[in-house]
Amino acid sequence: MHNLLEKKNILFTKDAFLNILLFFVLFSITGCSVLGVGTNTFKGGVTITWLVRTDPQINPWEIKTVSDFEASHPNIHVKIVMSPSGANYDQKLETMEVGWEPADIFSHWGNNSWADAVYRGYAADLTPYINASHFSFAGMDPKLLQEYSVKDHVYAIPFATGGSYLFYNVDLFQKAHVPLPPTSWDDPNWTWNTVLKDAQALNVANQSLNQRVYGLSDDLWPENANAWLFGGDIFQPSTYTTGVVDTVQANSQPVEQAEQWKHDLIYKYQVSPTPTDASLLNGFLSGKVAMDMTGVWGFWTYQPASFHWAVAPLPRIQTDKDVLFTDPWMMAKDSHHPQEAWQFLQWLCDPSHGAKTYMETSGAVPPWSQLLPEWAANTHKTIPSLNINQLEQIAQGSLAHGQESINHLAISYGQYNDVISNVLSPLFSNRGVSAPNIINQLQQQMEATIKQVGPLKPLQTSK
Amino acid sequence: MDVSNAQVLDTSSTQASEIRRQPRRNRSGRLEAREARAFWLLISPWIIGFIASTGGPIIASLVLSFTDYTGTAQFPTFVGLQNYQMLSIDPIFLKSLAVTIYYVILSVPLSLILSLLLALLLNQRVRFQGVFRTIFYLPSIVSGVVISLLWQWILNPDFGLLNFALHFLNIPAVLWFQDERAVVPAFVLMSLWGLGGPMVIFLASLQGIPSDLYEAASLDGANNWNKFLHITIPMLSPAILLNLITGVITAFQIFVPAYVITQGGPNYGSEFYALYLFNNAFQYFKFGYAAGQAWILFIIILALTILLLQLSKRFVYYES
Amino acid sequence: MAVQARSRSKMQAETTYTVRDTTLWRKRVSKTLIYVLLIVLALVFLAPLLWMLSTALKTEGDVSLFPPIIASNPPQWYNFVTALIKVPIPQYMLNTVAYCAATIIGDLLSSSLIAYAFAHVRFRYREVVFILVLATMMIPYQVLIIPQFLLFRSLGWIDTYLPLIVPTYFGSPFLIFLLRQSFRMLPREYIEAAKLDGANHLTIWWRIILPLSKPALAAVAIFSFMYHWNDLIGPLIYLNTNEEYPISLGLSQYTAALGGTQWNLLMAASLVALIPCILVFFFSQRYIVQGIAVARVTTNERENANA
Repeated sequence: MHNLLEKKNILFTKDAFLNILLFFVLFSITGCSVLGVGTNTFKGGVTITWLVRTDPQINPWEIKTVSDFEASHPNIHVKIVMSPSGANYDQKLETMEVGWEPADIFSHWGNNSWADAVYRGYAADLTPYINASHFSFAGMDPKLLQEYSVKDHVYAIPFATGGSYLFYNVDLFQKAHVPLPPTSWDDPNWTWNTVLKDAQALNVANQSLNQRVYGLSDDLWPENANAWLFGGDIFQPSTYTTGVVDTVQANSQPVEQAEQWKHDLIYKYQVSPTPTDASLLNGFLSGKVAMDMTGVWGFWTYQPASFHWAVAPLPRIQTDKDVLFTDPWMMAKDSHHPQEAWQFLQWLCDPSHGAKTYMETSGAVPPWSQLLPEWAANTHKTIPSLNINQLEQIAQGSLAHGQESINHLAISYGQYNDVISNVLSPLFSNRGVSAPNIINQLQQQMEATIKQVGPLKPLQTSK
Repeated sequence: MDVSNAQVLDTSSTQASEIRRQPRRNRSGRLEAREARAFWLLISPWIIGFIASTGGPIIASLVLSFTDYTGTAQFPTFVGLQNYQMLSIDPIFLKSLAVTIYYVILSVPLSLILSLLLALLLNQRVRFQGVFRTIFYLPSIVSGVVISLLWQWILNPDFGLLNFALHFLNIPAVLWFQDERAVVPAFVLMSLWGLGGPMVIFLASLQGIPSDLYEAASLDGANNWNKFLHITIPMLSPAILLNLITGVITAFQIFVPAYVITQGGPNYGSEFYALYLFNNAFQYFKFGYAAGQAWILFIIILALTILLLQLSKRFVYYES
Repeated sequence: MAVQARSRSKMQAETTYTVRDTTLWRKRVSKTLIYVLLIVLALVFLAPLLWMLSTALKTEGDVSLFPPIIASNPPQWYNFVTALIKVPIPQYMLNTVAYCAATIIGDLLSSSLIAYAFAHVRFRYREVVFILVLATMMIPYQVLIIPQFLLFRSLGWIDTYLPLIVPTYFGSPFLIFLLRQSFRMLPREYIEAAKLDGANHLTIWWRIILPLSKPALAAVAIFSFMYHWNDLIGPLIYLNTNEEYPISLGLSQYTAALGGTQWNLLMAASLVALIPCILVFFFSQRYIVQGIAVARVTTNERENANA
C-alpha cells in the first residue's frame, strides 16, 4: 500500500504540476485581456452605451459612426454593446435596465415593440431635448413622427423607413415573356387578377424541385398585412394610437378572405411553395420564386442574388395598403448621461450625418425626403432595370399608401404574434384545412390572450 | 487532523474488518462527529457558493412568483397565489407541460440506450479509436443554430433524407416539423446528435470495470450476453443513474431547438415548458408568472429525482 | 490445476495465438463488422461538419441556390481568411481559452473535493444535502438571470468575467454528481487502508482518489471546457466590452435578422472555432482508457482477502 501511494504520488505530481504550469502561463498571457487590463480606457469625459444588434453589414457602419462622432465630440465616448437581435436583445436590454445601467441609445431590435419600450418605462420623452436643441424635422413625413409620439411628445426619432413591396425576378419574367410590373402605386391595371395571371404564367409545376418555379410567394408580415389588402384588419384602429389591444376581429370577413386566399395560393392555384418547401428553398434568393411579396428588408437581403431582380408596388385587391417598417432611435429614460446621450442621438438622426450614412450602407429608405434622390441613385446600382424616377415613385408611393406595422405600435404584440402564427400554421401546412374553422379558433385564442395580458392603460406621456 | 484516534486503531493488523467487529460506543460517536466535521469542511466551497450566489437568486425567484413582477425596473406588488391559480387554468401552460412530458418520455430512454451502445462500440480496441470517439462527440458541441438548420433539411417532408428512407421502406411520409403530432418526435430525433455527452460518461465508466471480472466469467462459461447483463450493466449502474437523472433534468428544460426552428408551433405542438417560461419572462413582461412556472417545474423534477434515487438504492451497485 | 492454468492462459492470450480456426474467423468477422459500423456511423455524425464545410466554401449568392451545390466554383477557401478578419475571431478565441482555462481548474478542484465528501465521508444527512445540490440544477436558469445579475452588480463584477469564473470554484452540481458516481466505484479497501496509515481526508483525496479517477476527471475537463466554450447567455448578460467577448458572442456577430446572416463566413468561423474543442477532446479522451494496474490490484486484493 505504501508503495502504491508513493508511486502514484510522484507520477501524479509531475503531470499535475506541468498541467497547472501550462494553465497559468496561458492564463497570465491572456488573462489581461479577459479582466480588462490594458484595454483602451477612456480618460475624462463621459461614456455612454449604444446597444446595437449584430449584423455583419451594419456593424462596420456603427463603428465608423462612433469614430466620426467622437472626432467632433471629444468629451463623449460611445461604447458599442453588441447583441444578437430578437429575444437575446430583449434579454440584454432588460437586464441592463434592471441593473440600473440602462443602454443609453437603443432601438426595437428585439421582439418587443416601441410601445412596450414606452409602456414599461424604458424610453425617454425626447420633446424637451428637441426643443432645447431646435432639432428640425423639415423634410420628414409627419406621419412617421406622429406614430412614435404620445400626445405630441416624441418618444423615438425615425432614422430609416420603408414599406412592403413585390420583389420580382427579372430573368424569369423575361424568360416567360411576361410584361414587367409597373412602378406606380396608382396603376389601375396592377390588380390581383393581373398578378395571378402573371404568377400562373411564370409557374412551372413539376415533380422535381430542381425544375420547379413558383409564381408568387406571400411573405408579407405581420399576418394582418394580408387582411389589410382585403380592406380589413385583425386589430382595431384604436390600437395603433393607444397601443392597447382590447378587442380583435380575427373572425371578420376580410380576415377570413385573406387567409383563405393565402391558402389557395398554395393549394388551389399552386403558385406558392408550401411552408416546408419555403424553408428549404430559402425563398426568393434561390432563384426559384418569380415574385415575392415582403417587407423593405428585401432591398438589402436580396443584394447577393445571382440573378437580376427589381421592385414593384403591392397589387390592389380591395386596397393596396402596405405595412410600413420605420426604425427609430430611442434614449433610455433612466440614462445617467441624458445630455450626452441626446447629442449622440441627434447625430444619429441628423439627415446630414447618421441618417445619411446609414442609408448609404444599408439601402433602407430614408425618412427624410431630401435624401430620397440619393437613395434612388444608390438603389439604381443594385436594380439597374429601374431608373431613378421610378425608384422614387415606388418609395414615395409606399409611404403614402402605408401604415405603420402593428408590431411596432401594440403593447405586448409579441404575445399576440405567437398566437397568430401558432393557430394559423395548420392552415398553410395542410391541404384539407379551410379558413372559416381556423379563424374562429384564432378569435377565441386571441380573446383568451387579451385576458391573460391583463388590463393595460393607453400610452401616456411620462412625468 | 486529529491523528490520535488513528494511532489507537492501528494497534493490531491492517484488516479493516477486525475493527468493525468490535465497535466501541464512545469511539464511534467521536468518529461520527469527526466525520461530520470533515464532511462540512470538505463541502464548504459549495455551501459558500450556494449562500453567496445561488441561494439568494433561487429564493428571490420564489418570492417573485408571488408577485406580478414584470421584469423591468417597475417595483413588483404582492399578489399571493394568483400566478399559480392562473397557471392551473392556462391552456397553453397545460399544453406545454404535456408536450414536455411527452418529449422526456421519448428522449430519455432512447438517449440512454443508444449512448450506451455507442460507448460499447467505441470501447472496442480498434485503430483510430481516438479519432472515432472525437467524430462521434463532435455534433454535440456544434452550435445549435447549425444543427437546427441541418435537421430542417433532413426532416423536410418532401425532400429530406428521412422521408426518403421511409419512402424506401414503403412507410407514408411524415410531416415532421410541420405536423403538430410529429413535431415532438422530430425534436427527439434531433436530440440524438447530442449523444456524445452521455456517451463520454459511459466510456469513462467502462474503464473502471476490471477486465479480470470478464475473464473469470469466461472461465465459468459465460457468453457475451451474460457478461453484458451480469457484469457490464451492474458495474455501469452508477453511470446509468447519473445519465438518467441528468437526462431527465435537462430534457425537461429543452429550449433552444424549439426556439430556433418552430417557436412553439405548429399549433403549440412544440411549445416546450422552458420556451413558454422564457417567453413569459422576457417577451410578455410576466416575470412573476414565469417564476411560478419555474417553481412548479422544480417540484416536478425534484419529486422525480427523489423517486429515482430511492429506486437506485435497489438497483445500483457501488463498489465501495 | 494444470488444465485450468492452460485454458486460462488460452483465454488471456492475444487473438492471434488461439489455435482454433473457427474462433479466429468469428473474431475476424466481428472485428470487420465493428469497423463497418463505426465508419457508417462516423459518416452520419460527420454530416454536420461536412455541411458546414460545404457552406463555408460558397460565395454569398451560392449559399441559397437550390438544388444545393457542394461548393462554389472555384471553392472559396479565402472565406476562412475573411471570416477571421472581419470579426476578430482569433482575439475572441484567445479570450475564451483564458476563460476556459480558469474555469477548468475551478471545476476540477472544487467539484472533485465536494464529490469526494459525498462519496466517501460518512455523514447521516449526506444524501439529503446531496439532493439539495442536485436541486439547484432543477430551477430553469431563465428566472435566475435577473436576481443573479443584481447580485453580481452589487459586487461590481459587471463587465468582467468574474461572475462566470468564480462560481466554478464553488462546485457545479452536474460535475459533482458525475464525480460522486465515479468515486463510489473505487474500492473501499484503499481508503480504509490509507486511513489506517494516518491519512486525513485531504490526503486521501489528493493522493488516492484523484490519481485513480483519471477517466472521470478527463470527462469533467471535457464537459467543463465544452460548456464554457459555447456558453452564450452568461457572457451576453455580463459583458459589455467588445474586446473581451468570448468566441460564442463573436460568432453571433455574423448573424443578423431578416435574412442578413452571412452563412458562408459564419460556417467558416465556426469551423475554425471548433478546432480547440476537437483538440481538447482528443487529448482528454486519451485518459479514458482501461486502468490496467487498478484492475489487477483490485482483484488481487479481493483474492487475498477471501483466502
